[in-house]
Amino acid sequence: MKRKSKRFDPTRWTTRLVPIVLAALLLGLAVTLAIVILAALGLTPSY
Amino acid sequence: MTHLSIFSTIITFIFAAAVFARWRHKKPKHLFYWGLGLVLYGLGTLSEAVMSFTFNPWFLKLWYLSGAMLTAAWLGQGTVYLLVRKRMVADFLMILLIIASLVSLALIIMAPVTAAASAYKINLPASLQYKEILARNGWIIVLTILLNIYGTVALVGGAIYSAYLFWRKSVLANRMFGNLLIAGGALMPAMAGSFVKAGLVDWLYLSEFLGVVLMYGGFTLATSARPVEDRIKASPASSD
Repeated sequence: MKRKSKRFDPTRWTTRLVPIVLAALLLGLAVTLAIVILAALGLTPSY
Repeated sequence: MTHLSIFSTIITFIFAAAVFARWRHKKPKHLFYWGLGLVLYGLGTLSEAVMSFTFNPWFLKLWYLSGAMLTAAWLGQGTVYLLVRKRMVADFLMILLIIASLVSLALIIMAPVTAAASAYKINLPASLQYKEILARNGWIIVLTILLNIYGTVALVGGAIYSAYLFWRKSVLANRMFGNLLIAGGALMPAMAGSFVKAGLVDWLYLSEFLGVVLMYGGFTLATSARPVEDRIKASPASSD
């Protein structure tokens, strides 16, 4: 019996938009961690 | 806006029940810890909901312990069990997390509540007022920071990494989109503290609500039996 494929054909949206979303999420993660670390060092107004 | 916590709590516990229901079949560890993390998330928003009606020092402590200290770390631990191949590493991190959680529990129970508690305003979020009410020592602050860094890196980083792998290999579009939603959803409550600092108090509740909705949507999509790509378009190369 033929197995159902797990692959998908990348559309223009998935080719272009997904890397942008991934980069934005990575940036969000970096910013969040930076805020936490700056707060730990007492460099933000309060924590 | 403070009452948004009620809806966040309801959705979070439904989400937790869905995760535990899925865990019941094959009992994979990652689902159990995600479920546990969601229960902690729900306890945090439940405490907020209660404190939007009346102040209780034990709910403030529960809110801080579950919401501010443990949620991210336990959700992240689920991702660690999903992605870290070496079981020993995941188990070692698990032991550290259990110790850190027990120490956190003890420290929060012992943390004194100041006289400022009598001036608690139920129309303002706990996150704006807790510092004057809950006397946190250095250990509590250090543990809060470490647990949040660990949890956020594991949960958000893990979801981003998974989404990237699915995108690069062009496989399982439902899991790729699901992980993008999970990463976005998990980032929201992680950034909530920053919103409060910026004076956007209402964003705290909105970020918690949107965070759990996005994560639930992402989880549902990623675990759907029938992948999205099959619904959109059948792949011509369907022999792998």
